[in-house]
Amino acid sequence: MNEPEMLDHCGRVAEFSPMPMAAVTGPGHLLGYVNLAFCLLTGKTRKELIGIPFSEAVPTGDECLSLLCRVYRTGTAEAHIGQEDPSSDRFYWSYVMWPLLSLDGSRAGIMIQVTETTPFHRQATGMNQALVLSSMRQHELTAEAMRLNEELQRANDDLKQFAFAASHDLQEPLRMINSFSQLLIKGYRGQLDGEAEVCVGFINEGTTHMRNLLADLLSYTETSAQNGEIREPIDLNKSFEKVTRNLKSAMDASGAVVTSGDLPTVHGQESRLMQLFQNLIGNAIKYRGALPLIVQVSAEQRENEWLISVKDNGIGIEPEHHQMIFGVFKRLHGKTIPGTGIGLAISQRVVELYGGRIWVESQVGLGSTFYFTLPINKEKI
Amino acid sequence: MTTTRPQQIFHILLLEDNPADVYLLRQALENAGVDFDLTVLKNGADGLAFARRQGEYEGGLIPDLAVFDLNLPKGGGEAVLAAMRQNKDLGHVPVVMMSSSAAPREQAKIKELGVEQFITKPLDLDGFLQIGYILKEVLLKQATPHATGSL
Repeated sequence: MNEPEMLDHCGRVAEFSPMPMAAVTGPGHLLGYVNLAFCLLTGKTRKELIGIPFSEAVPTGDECLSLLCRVYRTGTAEAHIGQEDPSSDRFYWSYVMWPLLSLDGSRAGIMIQVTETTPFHRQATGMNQALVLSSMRQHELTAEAMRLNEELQRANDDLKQFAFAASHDLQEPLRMINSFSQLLIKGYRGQLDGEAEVCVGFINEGTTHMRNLLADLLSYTETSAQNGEIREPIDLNKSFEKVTRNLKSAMDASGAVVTSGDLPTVHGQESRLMQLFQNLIGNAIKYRGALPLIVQVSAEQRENEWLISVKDNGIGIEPEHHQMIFGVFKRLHGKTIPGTGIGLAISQRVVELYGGRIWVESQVGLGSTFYFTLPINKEKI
Repeated sequence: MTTTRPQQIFHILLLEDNPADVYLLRQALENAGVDFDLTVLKNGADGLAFARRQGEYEGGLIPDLAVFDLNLPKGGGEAVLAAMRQNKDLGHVPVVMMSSSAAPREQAKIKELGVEQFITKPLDLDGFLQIGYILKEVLLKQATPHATGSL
């Protein structure tokens, strides 16, 4: 169908449409076209209608005169639901009007579609309009949610970038302090007394600690969902084995006995799951008590999730600290036990990343049990 | 094994904005027993002018080795490296790239442009002093095949 044919066809659609339709031209809104349904509605012939002002063609013409003027002026489509006439229980006419553009894009007139509305129809029309409005509102809400989500994502990315830049840029001055304090000692060996070397030792200790903090901070911020992260089935029994190999020297030195029951296969990234085990078992070794240390790892299947526990007989944690220990750089033991206080924060991030929870149950002097859950649903992202 | 003539002085171009690192690199080279003279450029713009042999660098010295810091004000070491590789006089000069961070993707991109080594600046003095030996090795490797004739 070419363009003139299409126009012709559309013209016929208007002509035979059951909806009363009319087109007006000029500032006087004179009728230039009426379809059959419009003639039937008004009870007038086409001959009678063409050329007269629209307001004279319909009984409620005055009502929509201002609307016509507005559409003519602004070129924006508008709708008007007829006002109920209290003196009559008959019909109300509603109008939709939109500008008619000629082929060159100039405004040629206004197309009017009339709907005859009984009180019942009126209600239906109102409901329909309410529905349209509510779906539009819903659309807006969805768009708002998407916008907020994007904003959050951006903020998250910004934070990651910031943390990377900060920890990276902060390393630089540390490198200077470290290198030049060592250079000082090297260059003035023999001229400085032993005290200077001790002082430089402290400087280096400080910078080394700071460096570890920065590295941990970086690894903490990196522990978040990444696009395209590959998650595969991970046999936690194997991860556990690897972790105990990594911790072998610490286990030997402390005489710790670390055992595990049968562990499930979960979906995730092995490095992250290993980090989780390593942090929890490593902590058990670090915070052991006077008794020979026993660490037991076990898993229990629940309805939708695995409950995995790491139980020790170490020094335990005071109840008021059970939440706080998962915070970034939160430590309970000052310098007596080395560490940066990021391990549990990272552990929490890993667990939450995979849709689980982590918590501790503990009694001071008796030991601690760290619990975490991981969903059984493999497809859960 | 051929021995390097003791009087050989290597011309080294260093692109580095941090004077502390310039100082450390001198220490590292001295520590490794390298006879050198060092031309230091402090930003990417100077580096680019050098690499294109423009302005004051026109017809200037051709270094035996160039050491670039990756992160510089006014354009990084990567752009300077790319420009240098396109210059007929400087295209063959061995380049060692240094960086305080080591993003692997960045490294791969730069290695494509042709660098002898990519060094992440070590955090302690001993590590940094090692750089002196790495640079010495690069210099000797370059110098050995056509040592006769030069100088």
